[in-house]
Amino acid sequence: MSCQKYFHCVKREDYLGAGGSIALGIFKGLGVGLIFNALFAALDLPSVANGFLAAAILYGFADGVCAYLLGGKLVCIGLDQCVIGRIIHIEQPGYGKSTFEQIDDDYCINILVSPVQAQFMNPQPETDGLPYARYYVTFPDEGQLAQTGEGISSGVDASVPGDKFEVLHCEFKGCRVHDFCQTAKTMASLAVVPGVVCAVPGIGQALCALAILIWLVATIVALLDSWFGAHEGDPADVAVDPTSGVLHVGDCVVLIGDWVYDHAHGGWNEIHPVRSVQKIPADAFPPGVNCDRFADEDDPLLVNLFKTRVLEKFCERLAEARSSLTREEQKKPHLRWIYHPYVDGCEVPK
Amino acid sequence: MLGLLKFVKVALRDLPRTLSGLTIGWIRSLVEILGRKHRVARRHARWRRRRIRPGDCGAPCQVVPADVYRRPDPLIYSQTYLMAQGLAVTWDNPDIELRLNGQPADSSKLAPDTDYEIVARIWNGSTEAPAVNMPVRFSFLDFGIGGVEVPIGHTQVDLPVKGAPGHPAFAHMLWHTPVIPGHYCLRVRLVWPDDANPHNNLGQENTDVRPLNSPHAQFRVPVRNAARRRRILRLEPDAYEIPPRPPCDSNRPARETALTEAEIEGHRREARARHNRAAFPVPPAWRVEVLPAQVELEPESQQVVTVAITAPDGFHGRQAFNVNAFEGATLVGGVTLYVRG
Repeated sequence: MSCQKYFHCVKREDYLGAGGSIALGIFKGLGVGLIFNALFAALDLPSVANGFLAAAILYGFADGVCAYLLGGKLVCIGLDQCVIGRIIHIEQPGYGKSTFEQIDDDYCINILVSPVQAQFMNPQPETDGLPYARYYVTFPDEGQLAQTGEGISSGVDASVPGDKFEVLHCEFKGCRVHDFCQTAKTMASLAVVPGVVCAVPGIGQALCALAILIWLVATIVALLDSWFGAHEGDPADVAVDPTSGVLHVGDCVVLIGDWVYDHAHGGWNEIHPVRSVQKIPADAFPPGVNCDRFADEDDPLLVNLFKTRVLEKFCERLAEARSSLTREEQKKPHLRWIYHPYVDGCEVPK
Repeated sequence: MLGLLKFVKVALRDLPRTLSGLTIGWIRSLVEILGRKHRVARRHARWRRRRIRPGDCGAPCQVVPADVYRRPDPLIYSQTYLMAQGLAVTWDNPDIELRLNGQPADSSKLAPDTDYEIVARIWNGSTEAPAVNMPVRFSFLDFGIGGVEVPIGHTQVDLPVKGAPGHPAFAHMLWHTPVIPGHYCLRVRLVWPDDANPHNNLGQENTDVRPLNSPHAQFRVPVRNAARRRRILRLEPDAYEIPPRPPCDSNRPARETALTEAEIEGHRREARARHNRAAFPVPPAWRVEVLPAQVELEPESQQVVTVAITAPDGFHGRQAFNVNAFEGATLVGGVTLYVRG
């Protein structure tokens, strides 16, 4: 299972940036910590009071960092957007990231979107005032498209050194950020335990220090475990779970995801996270139209054909699949068959 | 100043969440973390048992988990698939209908040189992925088993997900029957390369009807080997017809749209019990003789098999018999024969 569900963008007015998110987290932690601190100080339990204060500040810090990583860095432009395009580049987990940045074990596909959807890459009013950049894939050093032979049909000559192509960047989320954050916040909450231990009458300074040391070691071990235990995008998954899929450069895909402005990388519009992706076979296009950039992007007939016969149909059917009405219908007994409705289905009594 | 006020407002709004996260939220998180560790340990144990090593998906590529990667499962009543699941089948396909002038027509009584309409009903086993503009190919075989496939044409349909408006979808195809009178086996094939289950995409309709004549009926069924190798085909009759569907026990909806493992296993068990071939033998009072019961065919060769059916005295009504051709345990083809008395 992936962790897309934990990632949510924020509205422009709620965007605080990394510093703001962390400051807000600490502020909230401090507020809660001071309440508890006062409470336990009044009960004459100073070590518990101090433990709570430390735990709350730590928790607030972790909460602030995580709020940023889990979506605070993303400004919503449109939720559940539907895009069709051809994959021209894949960024596997860890692509171009420093060790610390690898806390985000996402992986990405870069697609050439159809001409009628080019707005996905352009600055939008929802992100006014934020610095904007564009996302490019450079050939042939990236090399991937040339390997598939799809370049020419996509209108991309991948053999010209240094040629840049503006693409729509689409991120699939791994679980490391979520797992690491959950562990960090849990261990921060448990920072109160040494404080409680130290409050036991006659415990002594040595045992009190030991309790703190145990918490510290447990925290480090748990954090390392959550970092290295995160597992995403492993080809062995296909063997274990045949329902998982493999995306290749050159595939034509329709995907649903949140359309956001990602401030973390210097600012560009992207799909983040991708909530569903599906391949479109070549046979599913009407004659004269395919997934590639059209030879003449201004050809209104082709653009219209693509829009009405491919884009709108796919996106409407996908929206239907996600609608609550369909979801409720799918839970009804007469649709719970696996082979065929006439083989293992039941009949709704009249 | 305005920014600071907003900051304080957000902090106050989130204070209860911070409070609960700090005081009791960690218990739930701890349970989740331990549960995750347990699942990972089980997964690794499974890998070790199956000796799975991370493979190479042929870079540049990326594996995407099943809850994000979607595949439709277009399907039709598919005899070969159902038989492979251990279920009895009929060749009177409930998903393929022939129409003449807009009215249902009997596929066993085709008029030569006439325009018919073939209507195929197509289902989607997926609750997540539609198949838009899905090609559907229509063809026919000479009546019998394993005949030569002749294309009729192809069309495209939009197949929504299971339970959505427009599901099941219907594909329509005009068919001008051959000038030579005869019986033909209709085939409908659904084409979607990235299919969750590519084995349930071929449906066939292959029937013949004869009146009982005091009280016998005889059918001549050509059996053909379309393979490039010699084949020994075993012909087995049974009396299976799709039984009426049971009424739904309750209208209480399930909790999730996806079926649970237990639900899937329950369906498998129930289907095997209701559609077990062994439960549909030729009825004791009937006699069905397939001559010869086994044929040995060279590549591209054909042999006519005679199916002689004798009804019990005083039989009135209609009785179906299926004659299925197997190569070993694999279903190669078949036909449903109806007799009327």
